[in-house]
Amino acid sequence: MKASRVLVVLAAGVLAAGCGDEQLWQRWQAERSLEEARRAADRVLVQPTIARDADWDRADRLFAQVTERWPVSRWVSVPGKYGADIARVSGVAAVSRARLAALRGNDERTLLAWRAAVREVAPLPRLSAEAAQGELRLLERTGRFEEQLDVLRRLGEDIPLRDPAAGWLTDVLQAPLRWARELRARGRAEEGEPVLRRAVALVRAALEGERAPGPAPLLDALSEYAAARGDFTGSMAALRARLAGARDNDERRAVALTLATRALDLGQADSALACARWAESLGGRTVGRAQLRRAEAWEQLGQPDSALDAYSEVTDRPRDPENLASIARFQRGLLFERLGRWEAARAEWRTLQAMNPAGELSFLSMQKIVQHHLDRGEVELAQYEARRAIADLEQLLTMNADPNVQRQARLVRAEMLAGTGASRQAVEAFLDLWDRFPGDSVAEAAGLRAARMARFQPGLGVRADSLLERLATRAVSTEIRRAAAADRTPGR
Amino acid sequence: MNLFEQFALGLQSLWFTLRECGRPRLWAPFLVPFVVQCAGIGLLALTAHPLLSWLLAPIVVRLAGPDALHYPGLFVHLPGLALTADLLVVSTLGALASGAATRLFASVFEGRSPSLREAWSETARRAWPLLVAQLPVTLLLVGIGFALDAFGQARVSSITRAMLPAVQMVLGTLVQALFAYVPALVMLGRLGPLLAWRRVPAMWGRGLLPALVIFVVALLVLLPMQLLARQSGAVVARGLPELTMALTALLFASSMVASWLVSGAATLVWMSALSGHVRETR
Repeated sequence: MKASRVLVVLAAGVLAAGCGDEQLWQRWQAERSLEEARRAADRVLVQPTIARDADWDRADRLFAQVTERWPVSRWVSVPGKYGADIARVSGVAAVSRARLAALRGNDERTLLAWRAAVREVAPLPRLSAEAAQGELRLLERTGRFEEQLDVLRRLGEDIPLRDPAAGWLTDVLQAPLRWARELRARGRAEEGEPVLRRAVALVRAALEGERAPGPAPLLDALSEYAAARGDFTGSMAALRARLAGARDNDERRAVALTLATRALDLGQADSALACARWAESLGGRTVGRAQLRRAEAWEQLGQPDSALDAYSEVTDRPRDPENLASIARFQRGLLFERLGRWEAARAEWRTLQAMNPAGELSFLSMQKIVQHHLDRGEVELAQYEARRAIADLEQLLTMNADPNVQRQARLVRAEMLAGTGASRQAVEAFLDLWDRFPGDSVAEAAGLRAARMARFQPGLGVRADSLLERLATRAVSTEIRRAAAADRTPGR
Repeated sequence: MNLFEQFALGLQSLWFTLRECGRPRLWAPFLVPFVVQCAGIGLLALTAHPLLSWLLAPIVVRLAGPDALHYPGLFVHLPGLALTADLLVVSTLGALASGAATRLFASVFEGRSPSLREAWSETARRAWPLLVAQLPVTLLLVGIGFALDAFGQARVSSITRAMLPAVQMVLGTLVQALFAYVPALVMLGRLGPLLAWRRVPAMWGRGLLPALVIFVVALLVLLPMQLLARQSGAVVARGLPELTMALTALLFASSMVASWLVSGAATLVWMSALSGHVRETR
């Protein structure tokens, strides 16, 4: 009798055991495998320089095992409480694997890993955006600027704006702006317009399903898209809606600051001044930016003394994590130049170059100084300033390996040489830039410039033709290919 | 007996108990709850397994939140969950083990050879009185825990909140010392639960200070592992989640040592200074 009771209890236990959630166990195992892979990666990353290849391979293999055993594509569509969680764990493993490859230092392998991660996590918006950002960073670091455009296109077009768990994805919302900006930088601004138009339509469609005035990230993006398209009135309308939904002073001061910028773009200096003062009165970390907007508003209102005072407030700030002093100095230099106070303007720009030699505004200020003398026909002074700037750039090129700095510094050096009549050296400098960044449209434009200059140099005609031939057939940028084809000597 | 004599009695009973630590039979009763506790840790660690999740997952989520169903989140909560489950083990198997141990220690201190079979059969006979008589201690300890938790969640200063675990420890020690001789009253005094509770206050005059000495020493045995078990979050963060299982098992092992010490010392104090008093007042 007792034995039969025990059997009944056992049978009930076994039946009940069937009620356990298999997916919960799968999630547990996936998380445990991911944790094991992370531990292996952590061990490598404690001392990456002395880690053995076997250690790197083991960590990589462990991440790969997670993605292979629990593929995102399968688990994301499995009905049940934990299917989505398992897909996310697998996606995290795929992204972590690419990150590990990035830390290992082989760029080609890293690129392949990021691309594999992008494919793997495609059904998961947040991780897709993360993987695309990883790929973008690598392409930017290695100077493959043309391929960046393709990734930005994918980021802006293929990934949903919202992740079910993480909410609105800022990276995805920002992608069309970055894409349009990159296209504009390559002289292809007209290609950016449809990108932004499509982005606006997407955001408007997303806003329709939301309660008025709409989620902040969408309104911010809408405002920025409109501004990038030159529709400042539309941008301000979006910002006013954003202000209505602002929850705290942090949000209010950010919106007030953007409103000031848009008002300046629209030429409404009084509104800009009011908004900038309001943003300043709210305090916080944006005070410096608000002071800059105030200075710009005073400039628009024709009050240079007030503008100079406002710029001084920016440069005199004891802490300047955003390096706003560089902007203030550059703009104060421009204002001094307009006021005819050339010595003061040059002093501002020289200070800027000394304080932030690799900054974009430093390069621009070098060119401004040379251009000032050229505009006045002071060729000797221009040549003196150009020689001085080129020496500074040479020093920078030996000390800073950042591809962006290298590209910009080489471009400015070539421009300086071309501007001061050193045409042969300028041709070599432009070609050097193209050689170092093949496939980049800015560098290809430098190559075209070199070819065009070489045509008018004695003894360089043949070389110019061969350069144009190369550009016409092999340039990545369509515009450059077309321009080079048009410039080729007829009959060759 | 004056206070110095009571203090000395507490220390001496601890010393005489320690001298018996080489007898495996005296440990046997406490091995039963310890094995069950270790099995409990293993089962908790397998909460997500389909064989157990239907039963354990809802309980674990209820006690520790949804994070406890994740790896390695479960291991952060493991010591807390195991200690909660341990309340059941302590109030049942623990109570029976202390009864059997009291019988065994009494035999040893009387100079007889301890018989495990006799001890267990006597414990089985007096199982209900043992369980019921020791229940108030468990209930009081749980009640103190809940009350202090509720107090900590109210608007109190951070210093007060930081002191709550220490307060809980002091109150817990005091409550256990107050009821230290209940197993002896039931097993050796052969009293029922009601009579045992009625005799408890009569023990305090001669027995409270020795009991406090015994429990403070037991606490010293237990404290290092308790402090270590509280670091489960740090252990998991350092990438060793499964180590919290070993930590929890060590906590239970130290708890077993403390219980063994308390059982032996309290039995000796009872036999030396309190049993006659019980007979007089019966």
